[in-house]
Amino acid sequence: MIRLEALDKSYRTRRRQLHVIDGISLDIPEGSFFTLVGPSGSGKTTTLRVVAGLERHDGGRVLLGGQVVSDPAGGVFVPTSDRGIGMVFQSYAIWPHMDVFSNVAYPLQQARPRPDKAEIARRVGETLELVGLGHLAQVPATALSGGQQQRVALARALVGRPRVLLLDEPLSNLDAQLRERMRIDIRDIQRSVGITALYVTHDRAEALSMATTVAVMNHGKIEMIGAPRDIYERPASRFAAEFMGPCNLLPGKLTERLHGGWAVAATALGDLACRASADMSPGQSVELIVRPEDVSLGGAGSAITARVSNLAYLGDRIDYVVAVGAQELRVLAHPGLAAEIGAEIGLDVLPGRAWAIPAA
Amino acid sequence: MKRVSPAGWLLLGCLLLVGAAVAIPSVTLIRESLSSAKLAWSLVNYAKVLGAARTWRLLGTTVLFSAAMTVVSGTLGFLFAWVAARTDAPWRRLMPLAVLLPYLVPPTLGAICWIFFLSPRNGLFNAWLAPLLGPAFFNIYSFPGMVFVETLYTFPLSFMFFYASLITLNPALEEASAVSGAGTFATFRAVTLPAMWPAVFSVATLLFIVGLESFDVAWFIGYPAKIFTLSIEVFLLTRYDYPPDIGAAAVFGVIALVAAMGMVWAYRAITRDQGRFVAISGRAYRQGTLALGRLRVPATMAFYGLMLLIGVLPVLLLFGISIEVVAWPFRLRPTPSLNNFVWILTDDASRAALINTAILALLGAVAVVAISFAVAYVTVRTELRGRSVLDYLAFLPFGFPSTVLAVGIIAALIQTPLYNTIWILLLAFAVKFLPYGLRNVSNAMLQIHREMEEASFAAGAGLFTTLRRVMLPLCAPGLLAAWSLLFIVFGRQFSLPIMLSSTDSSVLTIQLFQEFDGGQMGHVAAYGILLIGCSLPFLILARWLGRAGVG
Repeated sequence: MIRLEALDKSYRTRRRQLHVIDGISLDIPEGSFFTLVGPSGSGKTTTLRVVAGLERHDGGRVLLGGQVVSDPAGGVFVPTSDRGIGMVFQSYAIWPHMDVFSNVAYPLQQARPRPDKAEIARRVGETLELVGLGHLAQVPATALSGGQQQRVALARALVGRPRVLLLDEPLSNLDAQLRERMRIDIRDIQRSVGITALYVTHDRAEALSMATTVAVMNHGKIEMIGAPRDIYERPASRFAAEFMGPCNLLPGKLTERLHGGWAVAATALGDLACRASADMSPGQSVELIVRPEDVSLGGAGSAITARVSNLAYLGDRIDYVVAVGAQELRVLAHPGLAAEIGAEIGLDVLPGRAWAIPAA
Repeated sequence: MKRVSPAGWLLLGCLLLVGAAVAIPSVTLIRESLSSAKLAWSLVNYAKVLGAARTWRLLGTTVLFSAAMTVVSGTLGFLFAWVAARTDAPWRRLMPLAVLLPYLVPPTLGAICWIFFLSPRNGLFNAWLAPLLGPAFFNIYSFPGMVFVETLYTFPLSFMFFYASLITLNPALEEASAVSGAGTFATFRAVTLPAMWPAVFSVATLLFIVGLESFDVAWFIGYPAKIFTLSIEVFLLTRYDYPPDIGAAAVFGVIALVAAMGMVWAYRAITRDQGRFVAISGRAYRQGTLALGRLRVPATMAFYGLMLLIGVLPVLLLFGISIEVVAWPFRLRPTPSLNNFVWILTDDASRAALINTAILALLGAVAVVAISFAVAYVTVRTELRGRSVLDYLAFLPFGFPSTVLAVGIIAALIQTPLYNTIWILLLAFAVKFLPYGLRNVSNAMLQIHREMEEASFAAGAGLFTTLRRVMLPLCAPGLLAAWSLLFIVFGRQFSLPIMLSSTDSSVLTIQLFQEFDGGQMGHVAAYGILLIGCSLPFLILARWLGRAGVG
């Protein structure tokens, strides 16, 4: 539904050329929930704005539903208003001089042919119901809470039945509880409408919990595309691994390939059973990615002994730093564990949770 | 060739309109300066003007006058703005409001009032202080007198600009200096002043430009004292001398034009750089207070004393004269009357002038706000190539002295039916004050989040629907504030009407001047009170709508 071909955008500063988008190609199938995630300055918002036609790009093409909407080389640029998109903005951008109804009715009033009044009223009502604001149509927009404004913005983006829904960090201005609630609601609404969504965020929990497909961006390039579970558990690069969550990187060497993606790696912790992509072969230098939650402490009969060098008690868990020889590891432990600094403790890496990537 | 976008058309339209408004008077001026009775192209006018010792004397006077006013007004403005924004002086929070008081008094009336106060013949202060200082101690009809009065009425401008800069200067910078052991004045010298340099330069340039084109003070005070400045000379050459010497006036105009372009360029270069100063962040900080110590009370007294002197006393005197409680030369009378007001409202010529003034102020302000809205949208909101040219063009009239602009307009339009009507005045007002309108409207537009407008595009609306249904309503308070300020400015404008109006297109200030010339001080005062009274509600409106810029 959304197709980006070799998309490129750069600014020329006094000293150098800065690539904001550096040759991105993407194909987002109809009905999917696609998330672009990355640190600030990675080019994710710019990519979204290029899709929306709010910014121009220098090279490549943008296609929506098979139609080329932007192709600088071919002289094609369809303005934002004619792209058939719905968009939710970070600031919500709810027009304060209109009430909720007028905000949501606006896209319908721009449609050609323009629906009649009754039809507009019906569809606005329907859409407000969908986002759970059916009772608030006549309320001035300024009287709404942040969460409600967010829902109005969503209704406004959906009411015209656009081809694609673009969302630019829509939850970053909400408090934590509301954000979790909205994550679920936006996902449900997207699924029930069946619209293709392109969602930009820097929050990895949003990316993992909402998307069918996630793309991790860095320096204007896509580091990795995959399902949320692949992104977190089988990252393609060290950057993707570290951006998606805390991890321990254990240098080592692949010693043996087993069936079904399994392998054995020799590390400072001894031989560890891990998984590795099919193109990696024994003898290769690797880094093992071990998430803190994939290590357990205090097991009886552990082969490895660690010494607690630091800990932070966080209530629902304890964040440990332990040392095995010279190798330090972060470990998330159950708060019931009562090992103090300096204690010797057994350590196990949960089998099959470690993931090998080629050493840098 | 790519299709031109709607925004592109808007830019093109604005460029044509503004370009014509700026280019036609300028080009006409240049052409007139190069023409003579016999030849199509000649340098006769230049030879005549530049060869005269009088020219160099009056150019010197003009520059010296502007420079002196800039230094005095800038220093006073900075010091008092600093007192109001930064120190623990009592009643400091009221200062930015109180400074609007003298702003209510148009420079024309300011000049007249100070003639009442300091004229050597029957000046009020001279009379009161005669036992102490001897008769006619002050002489308003002098170079220092001119600088003095011009300073008084540019002071609010410089105060407001400095105050706005100071409250956006992070006080932590000063606090860090205080923590490091520096006292109030050491901190001022080492931290505040250096951080304010860009603001200082830009305000100084601004004041200098205002000084160069000053007309009211130069006319009421300088001319009787035979002190001539460029604006006055241009006026005399076109409207006073017979036969008029448009060629010579145009040469002065070209000189002013070149100077104006340089000054405007400098001003913009400085204000553009201001953004790079991290200290000036654009948000207002909660201000810490620096202890003034023993100077606390004197500082406040000096400020409010000054306000009394330039804002309150003149208005009181005018009011007294207008209701005939005071006769001029100064004498108290027991019987108030409204005769003066009745006269200015019933006299035929006067009434026609008042109607003209109202039409000009109302329509002129609408025209400028409308054009400003379009130009501001293109320059602030789009990234079209050519928008900076538009921005520069629209700002250029700021540097044109009114009399010079008027000569260009006269020469360009003398053959058209517009000449000698109020429409030529409307045109001149619109060109001259476009920069003021643009500044206010741009500021209003900058406050509106970009996504407000993008949401409309995303909803399928084109540019003009977006402008009408989203930008216009959101900008409305800012537009109304800009309109109010322009209304005030147009009502009090003197230098353009004196150049451009005829008996049929007279305005309030022209009537006021004629009554002054005829010694009818009661009528003068009534006009003054009417002007001030009509300005007050609009000033309050603009203030209330927020961020009242400086007209």
